[in-house]
Amino acid sequence: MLFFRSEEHVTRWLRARDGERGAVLTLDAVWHLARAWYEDRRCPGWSPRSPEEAQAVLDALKLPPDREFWQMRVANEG
Amino acid sequence: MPLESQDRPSTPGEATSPLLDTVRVSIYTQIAESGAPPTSAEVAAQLGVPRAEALALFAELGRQRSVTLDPQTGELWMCGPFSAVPTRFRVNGSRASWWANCAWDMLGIPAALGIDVGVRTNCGCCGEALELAVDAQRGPTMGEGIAHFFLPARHWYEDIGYT
Repeated sequence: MLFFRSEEHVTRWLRARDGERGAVLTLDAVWHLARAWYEDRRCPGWSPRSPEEAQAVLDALKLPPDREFWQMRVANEG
Repeated sequence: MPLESQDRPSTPGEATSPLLDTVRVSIYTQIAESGAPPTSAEVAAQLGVPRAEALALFAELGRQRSVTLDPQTGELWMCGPFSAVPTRFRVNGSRASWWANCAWDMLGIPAALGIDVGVRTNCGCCGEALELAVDAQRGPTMGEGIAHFFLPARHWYEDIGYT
């Protein structure tokens, strides 16, 4: 994902590419996500998270703008 | 950036072997100290094995999705949050500098290393230079900006390079 000066610049960038808006996070929210995701990466015994484990990390952060964007699986995928 | 092709189904969350874990930790230690991941030749020399065996270990780490490999060479490309190749996200510590894969990862580096850093990047729209100061405990203490995530989480495992 890219970093932008402001919401206005995200909107301008998407409009120029006819792109669909995803999710925008504040710097503070990205920091909390980065810390939860990466602070144990160098530890011996670390292994990639299963989708369920990744979901638990995302759920704990209560990220905006909507829950569905941050779901590792959609409801009808079982 | 597409994820490298996978010959076998990946199984995130599976247990890793002691050798593979040792190699993975060694890769991250080298990145932390030097700013860049080792090549297969360097890992082969460290382990005293042929280069092909080092490449096979990289491939196994890639299959697990512990790392992402260059699809042409089989060398390390992304060891999240670090990038082996230059990007628009430069993270500077007091003893080394690193390339981050994306806006998420530019903050993942101080989180993974537990150190204060400065980040130099630019606006994805206008290209204006943006600088951040990040405290290892408190997070960003100077600088402004926002991150835009393109893909919903359900697609992350399909294409880790384009989120």
